[in-house]
Amino acid sequence: MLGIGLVKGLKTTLRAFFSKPVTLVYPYRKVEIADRGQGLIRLRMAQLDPTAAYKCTGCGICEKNCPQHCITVVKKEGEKQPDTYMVNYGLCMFCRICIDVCPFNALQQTQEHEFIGGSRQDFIRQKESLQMKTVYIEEKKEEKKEINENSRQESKE
Amino acid sequence: MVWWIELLWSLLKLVIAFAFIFITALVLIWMLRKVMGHMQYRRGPLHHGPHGIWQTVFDALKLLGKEDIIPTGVDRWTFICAPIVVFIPTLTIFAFIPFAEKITATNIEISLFFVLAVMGLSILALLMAGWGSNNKYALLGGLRGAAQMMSYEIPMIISTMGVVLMAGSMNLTEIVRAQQHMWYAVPQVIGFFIFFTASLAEINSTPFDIPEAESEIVAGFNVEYSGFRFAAFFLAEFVNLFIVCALATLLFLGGWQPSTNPVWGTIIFLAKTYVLIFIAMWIRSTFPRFRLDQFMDFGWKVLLPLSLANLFVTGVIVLVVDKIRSV
Repeated sequence: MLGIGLVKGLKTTLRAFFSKPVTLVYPYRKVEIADRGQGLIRLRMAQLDPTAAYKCTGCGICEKNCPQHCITVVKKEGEKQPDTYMVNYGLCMFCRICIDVCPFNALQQTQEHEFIGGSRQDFIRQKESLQMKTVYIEEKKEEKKEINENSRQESKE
Repeated sequence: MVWWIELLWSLLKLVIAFAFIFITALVLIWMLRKVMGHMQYRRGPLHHGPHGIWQTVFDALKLLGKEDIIPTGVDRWTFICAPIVVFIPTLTIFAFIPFAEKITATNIEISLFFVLAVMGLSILALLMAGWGSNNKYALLGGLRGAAQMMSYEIPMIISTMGVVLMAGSMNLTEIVRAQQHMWYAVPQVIGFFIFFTASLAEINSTPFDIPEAESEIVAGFNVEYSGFRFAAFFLAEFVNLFIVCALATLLFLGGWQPSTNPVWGTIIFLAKTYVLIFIAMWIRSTFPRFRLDQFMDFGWKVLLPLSLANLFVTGVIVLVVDKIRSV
């Protein structure tokens, strides 16, 4: 019949009007990212983290393979750990080549994706802030779980 | 002493009417964003006040603070006066709409006729904006808009004539009083449908918003406007929506019936108007845009014959019923 399509369209929109929106109110509710989510990378060095099973020796393979040249490694003669390890996240494109080529498995990926800075210098990270100790990662996971559980409880109410 | 009290009273009524209009425009813009948002499985504005109520106020203030750009080569007076002219029919019609029994700014015997006549002035504003912009795309948008509004005025006016025949008067208050026993939407179903559709086309609301085409061309005829001039066009669109739905409630849905109390009457009238506004926004979020030739076909080949047939049948039935009653 003429016009049935119009009525069906109107019914669909009305049903959408009365159903729950699918968007999350972002700063108050966050999305849980899977473990394979590609966020920032972290560096494990025995010097800074005694529990690190694998250690960075400052060989510079990640620096040579980075397509954007955002890693800078400086190692002094006769030492077993790098003196300076600097990553410029303003240039990094999260391609994961550095993680793949590291022979010591010293680089690992995390799911952290929310980082802001006031200037370009804020995006340059040194080895201390690249540590992101295990405890810190676990804390972040707990935080996210709490936020999402609260939101589930609220939506049930 | 008495004459200046009268003057002050009239000025006060004017100020109240203007305040009501602008607040209505702000409320309608917020309502559109929320309704359209929820119909698209998302929320509308959320921050800035509970559920984003003050969002429109801040938007209007932002537009006020923008630079007033007048492009070179424009027809200066036409360009500057178009946003003012777009408000003139809206504000004029507002004086004639009765909100309840006796609550109306002016009550003349032919108020419906005046309202329909003044509504045609909005075509002029569109043309002025299109021509005065020194921009061929704006000109085309303005000409198309003028063609659209002109061709849909005819079915709109003829469909109201059925109501006038049944009520026997052109006074809007009289028409509402005559709907005491039955709203005119019941015998005049086709007339209601034609009036609502043609009036949505008059105010350039999707699916008939060819002159503006929000997501396709930049802004149609008002592409060269920025700052508060743009805000004037934007607000005028929503006030027109309110006026057209208010007219539809008065003519077809029984205005403020069943209550004659001024306070309850206003509340019932506004409630019915807002239901129609919701339906207009519902249609806006559902249907895709007409193509220009499909749209002209619909106006001239479907709505106009239907409205003429409606008028003919209504006239015959009213005549026959009168003869039967007088016998």
